[in-house]
Formats: sequence, structure tokens, C-alpha cells
Amino acid sequence: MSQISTDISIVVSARDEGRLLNACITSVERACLEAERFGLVVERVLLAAAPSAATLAWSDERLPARWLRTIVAESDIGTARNSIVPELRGAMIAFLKGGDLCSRDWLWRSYKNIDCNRTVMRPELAILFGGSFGVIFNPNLCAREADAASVGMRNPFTTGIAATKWLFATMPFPPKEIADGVESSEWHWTLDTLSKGVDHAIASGTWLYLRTSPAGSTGATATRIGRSALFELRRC
Amino acid sequence: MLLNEDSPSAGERRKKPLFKRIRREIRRVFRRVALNFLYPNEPSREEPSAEGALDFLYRNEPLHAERRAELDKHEVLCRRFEALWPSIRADMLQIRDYERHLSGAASLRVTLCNNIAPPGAPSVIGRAINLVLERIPSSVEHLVVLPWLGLHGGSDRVSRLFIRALIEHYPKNRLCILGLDQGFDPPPEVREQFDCNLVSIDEFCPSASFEDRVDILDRILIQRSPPTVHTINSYAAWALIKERGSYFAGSVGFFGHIYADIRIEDIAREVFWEYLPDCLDHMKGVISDNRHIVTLAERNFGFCRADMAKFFVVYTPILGVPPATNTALRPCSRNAGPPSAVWFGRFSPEKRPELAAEVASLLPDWKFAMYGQQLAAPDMDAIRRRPNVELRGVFGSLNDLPFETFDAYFLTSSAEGVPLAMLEATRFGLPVVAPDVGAVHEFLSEETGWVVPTPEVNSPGGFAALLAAVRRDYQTAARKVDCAQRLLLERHTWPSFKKTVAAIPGYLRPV
Repeated sequence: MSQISTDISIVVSARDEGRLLNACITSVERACLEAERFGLVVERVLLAAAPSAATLAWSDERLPARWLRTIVAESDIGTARNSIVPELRGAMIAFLKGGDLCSRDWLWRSYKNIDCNRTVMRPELAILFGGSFGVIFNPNLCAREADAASVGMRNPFTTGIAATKWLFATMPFPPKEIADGVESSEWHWTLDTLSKGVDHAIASGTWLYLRTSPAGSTGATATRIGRSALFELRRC
Repeated sequence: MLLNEDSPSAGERRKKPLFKRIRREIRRVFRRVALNFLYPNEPSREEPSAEGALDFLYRNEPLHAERRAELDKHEVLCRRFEALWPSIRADMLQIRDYERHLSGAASLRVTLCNNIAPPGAPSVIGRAINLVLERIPSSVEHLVVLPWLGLHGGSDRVSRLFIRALIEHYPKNRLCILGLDQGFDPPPEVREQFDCNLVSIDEFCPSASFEDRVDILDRILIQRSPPTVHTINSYAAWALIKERGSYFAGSVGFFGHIYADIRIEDIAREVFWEYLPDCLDHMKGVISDNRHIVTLAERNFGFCRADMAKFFVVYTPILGVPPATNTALRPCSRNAGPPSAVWFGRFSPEKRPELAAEVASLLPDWKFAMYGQQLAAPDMDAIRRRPNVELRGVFGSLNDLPFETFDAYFLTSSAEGVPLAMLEATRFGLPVVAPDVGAVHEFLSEETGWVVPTPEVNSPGGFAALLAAVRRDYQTAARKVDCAQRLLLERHTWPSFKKTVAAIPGYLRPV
């Protein structure tokens, strides 16, 4: 990756987070500085997808100068992310949601451990806070051993992904409006990538802080994958 | 896998504590044997430890291997979190001014530690769901979800009747019967009765938990989108409607059955209490075999007119049900022998067979025959002790019962819909004595039988008095039975059942 001038692009997606972005951007900025301390070049992007007035106001007034802000009309986060990928300069792209925070080591450890185009890096654990408190460990999931249909039943991963630009460009996030069911873009993307032989590995010693609402977003009742050919075609 | 050199791989993390424990246990056993040999009169020098206590628990608790592995995994994760905590705390201290919840306080560590979840990909459900989906045709339009099939009981009888009606209506590939709940295992002779797709989750994933089964149904509905889903007492299906019904509002029409407002020892049980109030909004229809429970739902849960339009009463057919289309009724006949009464039904708490035995104690000159399957465990000894009570077990067919030797049939339930046993007894020409509970009054009145009034339904006296009255006045008994049988012919026949089912909006898909 060294031939590309920018090593990491961190993209924080926001819609109606408003001033919650303050904590998120602060934590990400800290992670960027840590990565830069290791000699990495980091591009910082706030992706405002159909942003609310509060989000726009906060980013107008408080977004640090080194950050780029991209506003898209598309409200679907997956589609918005797809639209920005070609513009990003980093060899590795990391996506984070605007309400969440990351640990200081997340970016550089993910970068250090990513060794090919066939790996998606996950934080080792997620610390839930806000509506409820808890810890969720992400699994190390090798595509060869993964039971994709099981992953389709329950999403074993929390949010927060990092992979090469090539991978995001060749395997874009699915659109939200898929047939017959509620869906989670990152979850569906996980299934797609697993079925194409991409491993999902953890960056040991890294974590994200995930803001939870009482409704939650990790439970099967909150997010489910829509009708999927995986259940019809793939024998596990 | 890409792991830092400072952390063990997932496999190592799983195995290491187990090996350590085994090694420690072997050492401890050797040490104990050696100490006992060297110092036979001294007490044990071993000190208890938390690890030892854990091992002790493991040894003495018959833990399932999967559960044991789960505990091991959780223990490993807890240790990993504890090892990471100093770094996490340091990290939090840097950002706590920006996010007040991430204080880094010791109390937060405890809270988090108590809520550690392992990686979530289950290993069994995905495989099972693939196999289940293979058995459910993609053209399925009507899915009936059941917890059991082939047991004795009113609900099972209703299930079979609905399935039969649906088989007559749909081509084979458009109907599927799904045994979702644990224990669904119809005997071969029952399976043979139904020429349709019959799928049991237990065939593919017997160890699936209740939540797993809800997930499996969820996936079936997403993948197959049957326009009609009908649950007859499947709690897992009701739970899905309750929790996720709104997701399917546009694509799946949910129907469910309710029977009675059963309470046992003051605990509200059954679908009526547990699910109906939370599910109705997501449902297209609620079917009942009696009007009484529908009225109760309206009163208890404050349902409005639009809600009540979703309720449909379908009386259970007794006559002319295929394959035996016989609609013959046995006339009432006088019992020439000693006074005798018959009780048949499930030996379960709500049927109160022990009350029947108390009735027998008040009529020592009578003989009481009791038939039925023992599901729960009422005090059978008290029943057996009654000298004038004979427990005759399960009957193969009602035709085999010596109805001519009985004066009356009596029912002692604490809650009921329209009891099928009461209808069957009427069909076979027996006068009926029953308490005024549930929907009994929808069939039994002063014209059609003997009703134990509400204040007396919990004591044997009222039952005994009415049984004696039946015996005393055969003419009245014959008149009432005749009247009851006319009601059977009017309301409880197979054609009237099919006609009512067909009239439920959105229930049957056009073929």
C-alpha cells in the first residue's frame, strides 16, 4: 500500500446525529493522530447523508478543519458510502457511524493487520453504552469455515468495518430497499463478502463504543436481512 | 486470520483454560492420593479455590456439552475483557469529557463485565433453516403452525379439522404444516392421514431453543412469504407475531386460534392472556371455537369495533367429518343397570378430575367411569382411592364406549371453550351435566342439558344433585338430549364448518 500516498480514509457517516457527532469526531480524531504517530497518512471524511439541520449546523460550526465534509442527498447509508468510495484516497477505508466512538488504536491496528484484499477488519469488541450497557465480542470468521446461513439468521458482528478500497469498490454495499424484509446494509454486505470468500478478522486490542437506544440495533428484532438467495443456493 | 502477536488465537483461547483445568485436576487427585497415603490420619490439606469450586460444579452438574462449551467460552471472554480493561479505562479517561457514559469508573467495569456476550453466529440454525426451506415449497400460500399433532385434546382435534379443510381446498404444493415447537412428533398413523407437506423443526434441529424457533419461522416467512399464516397454539409463532408481526404486516396475513381464558392457581396462561392483546394489531384474524372468549377479549382488553371485526367464531364439527361422513346420532336410552356416570377428557389441572372423584364420594351408590390421557399430574391417588371410581385409560374410539350403561356424562372443568367431550357425549345420546364455565352455556342450557350454576361450580354438591336428577327423570333427559342433538345438526357439522371457514376474509386463498 505504500505506493499510494494516503494510507487510511476514515469515513464517519451521519444523518441526524447532530451534536452527538462531537464525541464521535473527537474520538476519531484521536485515532487519526495515533495512526499518524506511526507514520500513516489519514484522510478524514464526514459523510452527511441526507443530513438533518442539527447535523448540518454542528458540522458547519464544529467540524475540525482537517476534515472533509461530503453531503449527499441519498439517505441510505450503504448507497451513500458506495457513492463516496471512488473519491477516497486511502488504501484502506474505515467506516464508522456518527453516533459511535472508536478506541485510539482502532485505525492503526486495523491497518497493520490488513494484509490483502480478501480481509475485512473488525474491532475485537464493542462496548455498548447509552440505552443499555454491555460488551459484544466479534468473531474471527474465516470465509471457508463460515456458515453463511447462520450469519444470515443472526448478525454476529457489530458495526465498524475497515477493508481495502479495492474491496469496497468491487463489493459495494447493497441498497437498502431490497425485497421482502427489513435489512441492515452492513449485515447484508457481510453475507455477500463471506459468500465471495472474504474473511472477517478482528484487530486484536481494538474496540468501538456503540451508542444504544432502548430499541437497540444489534438484536434480530431490530435488524434483519431481507430475502436472500444465500438460503436457497448455498448448502452449509 | 490476522491477529496481533500479543493475543492468542480464538482456538487457543478456547482450549487453554480447559487443558489447564484438566491438568490441575489430575495434579490435585495425585496430590490427594499421595497425602492420604503419607498422612492417613490428617485432614485434607487442600484449600478450596474458585477454580476448584467451578470444577466441582462441573463434575456434579450434568451439563450438556454445548452448555459447558458455552460457559468455557464466556469465561474466556470475561478474562479477555478483564485483561483489556486497563487499556479500555485509559482510553475512556481520554474521552469521558465528551461522552459522559464512558466514565472509566470501576462500577462501569462491573456493569460491562456482567453483560458480556459471546460472538453471536449460531452454528445450528442456519443449517437447519436450509433444510427446512428445502421441504417448504416456494409456492406455499398457507402455512399452519402447530406445537403438536396427534395428541388427545380439543386443540389437536381443531388442528386436524382445519388441516383437513385446507387439504380439500388447496393443491398440495400450496399448503404446508409446520411443527415449530419442541416435541412436535406426530405418530406415523397421524402423518398418513394428511397428504400434505408436513415439516417438523425437530427433525432438523431438535435442540433449537424457543428463540431459535422464532428466528427460524421468521426466516421462513421472509424467504417464502406465505400470504396466510395460521398458528394453532404454537407459542413460538405467537411470539413471532408479538415481536415482529409489524415487519410482515404488508406481506403476511396472520391468523391465530384462541380457546379459553384459562388460569391455573391464579396464573394467567394460554394464548388469550399471554399474546392476544399484544398481537391483534398485527393480525388479520383471530379464530375461536366459541363466542364467549371473543366477548371476554372485547371486555378485558378494550378492543374496539375495528378490532372486533377480526374475530371469527367457527364451531367445531362433530358430525360428518371425513373420512367417516356418518352423521348418525345415537338416541338417548335409559340405563337399566345401576346408576352410573361417565367422565372423559384429559387428566390435567383445568379439567379437575379430582372434583369428579369428590362427586363420586357424594354418590356412593353410583359407579363412575373415567377415561382419558394423563398429561399433567393431578392427584391421581385420591381418584384411585374412591371405591366407586374406575379409571379406564385412553379409549381408541368413542364407538367402543358402553354408552348404554351410563345415565349421564359429566364435566368438571374450571375453564373451557365449547368442550368437544360434551358435544361427543350428546352425539352418543348421553344427558350432559356441566358447570357454567367458559363457553359451556353456548351449547348447554336448560333446554339441552343440566348446568351447574356458577356459585356451585367448585363444589361437588351441585354436580351430584344434577346427576341424581337426570337419573330420576328419564323423560326430561330424553327431551333435552333430543334438543341438544338438533343443535349439533344445525351448528356442528362438517359442511357448516367448511362454509364458515370459507367466509373468513383473507383466510383461504383462491385456487
